[in-house]
Amino acid sequence: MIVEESKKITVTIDGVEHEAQPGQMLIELTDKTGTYVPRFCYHEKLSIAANCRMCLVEVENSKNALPACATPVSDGMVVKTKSQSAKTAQESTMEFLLINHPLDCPICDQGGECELQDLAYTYGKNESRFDIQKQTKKNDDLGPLVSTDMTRCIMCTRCVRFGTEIAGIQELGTIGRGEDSNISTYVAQTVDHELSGNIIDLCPVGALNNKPYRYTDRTWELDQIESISPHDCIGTNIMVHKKNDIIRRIVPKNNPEINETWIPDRDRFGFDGIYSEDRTSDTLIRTDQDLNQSKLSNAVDKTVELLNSAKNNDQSIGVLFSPSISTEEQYLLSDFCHQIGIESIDSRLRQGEFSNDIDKRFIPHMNIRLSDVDAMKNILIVGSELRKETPILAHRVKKSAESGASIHTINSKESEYHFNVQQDLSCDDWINELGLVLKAAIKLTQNHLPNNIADHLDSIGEPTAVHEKVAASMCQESSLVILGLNAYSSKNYQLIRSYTHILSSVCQTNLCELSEGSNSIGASIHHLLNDTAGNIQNLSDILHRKHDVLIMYGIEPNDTIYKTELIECMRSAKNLIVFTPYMNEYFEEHADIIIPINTHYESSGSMINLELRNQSFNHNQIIGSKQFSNTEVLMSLYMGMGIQSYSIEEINEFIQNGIDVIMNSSERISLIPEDRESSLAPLNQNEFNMYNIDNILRRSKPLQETKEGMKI
Amino acid sequence: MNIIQLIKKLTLIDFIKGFIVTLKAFFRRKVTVQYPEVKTPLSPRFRGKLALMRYDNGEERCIACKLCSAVCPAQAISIESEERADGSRRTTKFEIDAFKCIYCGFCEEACPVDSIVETDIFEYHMTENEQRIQTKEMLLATGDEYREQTIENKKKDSRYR
Ligand code: SF4
Ligand code: SF4
Ligand code: SF4
Ligand code: FES
Repeated sequence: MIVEESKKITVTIDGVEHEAQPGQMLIELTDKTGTYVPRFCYHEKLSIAANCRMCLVEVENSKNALPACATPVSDGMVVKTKSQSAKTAQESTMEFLLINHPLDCPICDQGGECELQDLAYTYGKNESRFDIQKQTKKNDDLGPLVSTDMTRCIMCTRCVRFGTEIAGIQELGTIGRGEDSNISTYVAQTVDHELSGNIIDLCPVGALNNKPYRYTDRTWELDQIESISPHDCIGTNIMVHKKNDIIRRIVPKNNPEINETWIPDRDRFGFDGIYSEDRTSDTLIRTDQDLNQSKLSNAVDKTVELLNSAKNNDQSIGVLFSPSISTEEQYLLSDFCHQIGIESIDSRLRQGEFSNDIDKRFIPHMNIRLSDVDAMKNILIVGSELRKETPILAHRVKKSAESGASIHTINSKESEYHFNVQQDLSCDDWINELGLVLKAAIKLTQNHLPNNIADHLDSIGEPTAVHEKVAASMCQESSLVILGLNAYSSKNYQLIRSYTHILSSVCQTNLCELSEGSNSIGASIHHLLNDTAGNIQNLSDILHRKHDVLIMYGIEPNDTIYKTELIECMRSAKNLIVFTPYMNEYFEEHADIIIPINTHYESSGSMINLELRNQSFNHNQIIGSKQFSNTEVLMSLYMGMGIQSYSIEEINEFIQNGIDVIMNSSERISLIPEDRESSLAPLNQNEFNMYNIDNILRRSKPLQETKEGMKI
Repeated sequence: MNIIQLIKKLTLIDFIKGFIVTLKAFFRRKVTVQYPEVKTPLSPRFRGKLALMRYDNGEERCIACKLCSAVCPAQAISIESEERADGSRRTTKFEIDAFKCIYCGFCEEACPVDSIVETDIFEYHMTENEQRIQTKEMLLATGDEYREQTIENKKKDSRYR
């Protein structure tokens, strides 16, 4: 709300005058000025329900105490939050709340971080005047992620409001009235929204809780580490709670610029995958058909030997690495390959089509801030199941939709959205539809285009009114085109990408390209800075060759959409060297050297999210599978080879330079790629499973028990 | 040497004085006991060896709320817990380091279900260092062994609580 300075009003709280904005609720003002008013149902990010009555305060000239969360401020208001009458009102509310509340604290997981417990300590009476039987309620099964003890519910309806306002689906609702009211999932359907875990944090009491964490630890036993989640390109901020250096749970870290107070379920429950039985901590070398345990130094020596002999004999070496590891690791690995002359190195495991000249110059990223998405007026989502790919971005888009933005989608199939979609052009021939939108936009803006584009557009048909509508909307101010991962994995990716880029420059929209893994941008930095773009080979070339030495760093066949090809490539490689946190059947069969490395949750470094924000994390205390850090393993390779590595400080400087390079290039793709038959057939590209995108999530038990997880 | 000293010496007066003290003590009520054959009485409040108690039906009382480990000033208690198959909250590990414990009794005060108690047993020993760790089984066994007398003691003390 924009309020002119002169419209400011004064409110006196506990004898101190404060400036306030008209329309503000009293509780917002007290929160801002640091006067604590107790509350249960009020939540900053949710609508106002005013049904718990805990926030009653005394307001002069009002007969009754008023709820601070639902009382707008007015000029000259005199508020007393600690007066006798306010205190009596708050204490009575507390007494009523406790009538039916069970004496569960000792076995309640909320104990120690419970808002009711804290407030009962301050506002509760020592004795209960009620000697009647307490009410009990039936529990619903809310699926594998959220546990319920509804008897503890205080009917604040935060969870219900979360369902309607944030999740966009009414999965939970209130049934009945008064003493008989119940929070229930209609028709006992399980909560399977991608953000559902957030009701755990929202619930002020222990009614809704973290199921995998149930009955294990107390809050006071846990230490927390600030961190970044590695499961999508958003860079969600999280707090890792650990006990005895083992991760026990993950909760959101409030960052208004990225994820606000929300985190997707996969960021909350995904870490379980690092405690899977598949973890390997042994360095293994194949001798006489069998993998035998060995020392790391032997494995490194052997690797160096293999690399040297392959290099000297001009044989083929291929390197594939994970797009979800820290930039430092990626840089060290890339630079190692660069120094010894390996050119076949790639991390784009899910890209559907390759064309080096375009790819390496235009790094997929977002040219605005994530928080700017809220204020966009027109958004076109191309080739994306946004809710599954990046739940946080989808939430931002939802926010903009709610403040009136028009949202359009084009995808290979219709996907379910929790906001209003104005035009959904999804169909089998969706790429053509996108082309028609572009054509309509060009007509509308009367832009002059290079001949090859004009020729190409001539051949795709004529736009209809629908296309014109979308084009017109995109040509307005504050518009954004989002290019999703479905497009990224499509075998026509280059064409879709060119369309999107051209559309974006014709209509002067903002552009957001999602990228795979959590750190694809980091992976591209070495190429960018060393200008190796021209001679670097891509995944498709790597998969189609027979290698003398194939190195896989932090990935497994399921991570790529070219699973069959990769397995074939692993089989045909004369020597397969894998650096992996996990064992799997393919490694057992084909690998010749296995060197264990740490997962994200046990290493440290930094990652760059899609808006080019460089964030660092440090999980060094978490007990990993082995005693060496990933950088140490890489350094030992450098030493074995007898080459010099950059220091971490130097690498950090490079990373910053790389980010600057991407940030300063506002150029967009402006040519249509030639028609080429792609030699790779992407596997099941329509089956984007949000709980199967990396090796950690795939092994997280709670996630695999959800509906989405069962589909794998 | 003067005359008085001479007389004292000859009559052995100092000796006799000393023997009178001994003689008095000889007939006085005895306060020492022949431990271990004879034992002094203990207050029901005596804080001795720790134990975990059960309900009458044999179910362990402890619900793994971890309040005892939170309150313990010596940080002697370590607990791990999980959901048991029947859905109740139980410990999987409950260990007290007997060498750390200072027998302050705070854990007993903190326990909401009267599970952890201090018996009046003070005569116990260990021969190996590792035995100082009292496991859940050992603690429950102690509770079973001294169940009657512990309940008796707690009853006697309950008037003053
Ligand atoms: S919700 Fe809070 S007050 Fe209620 S039993 Fe749990 S910890 Fe105690
Ligand atoms: S379950 Fe929790 S969040 Fe939902 S109404 Fe009850 S107390 Fe509020
Ligand atoms: S008696 Fe005191 S020191 Fe010993 S375990 Fe209990 S709380 Fe800890
Ligand atoms: S917080 Fe104001 S009524 Fe609940």
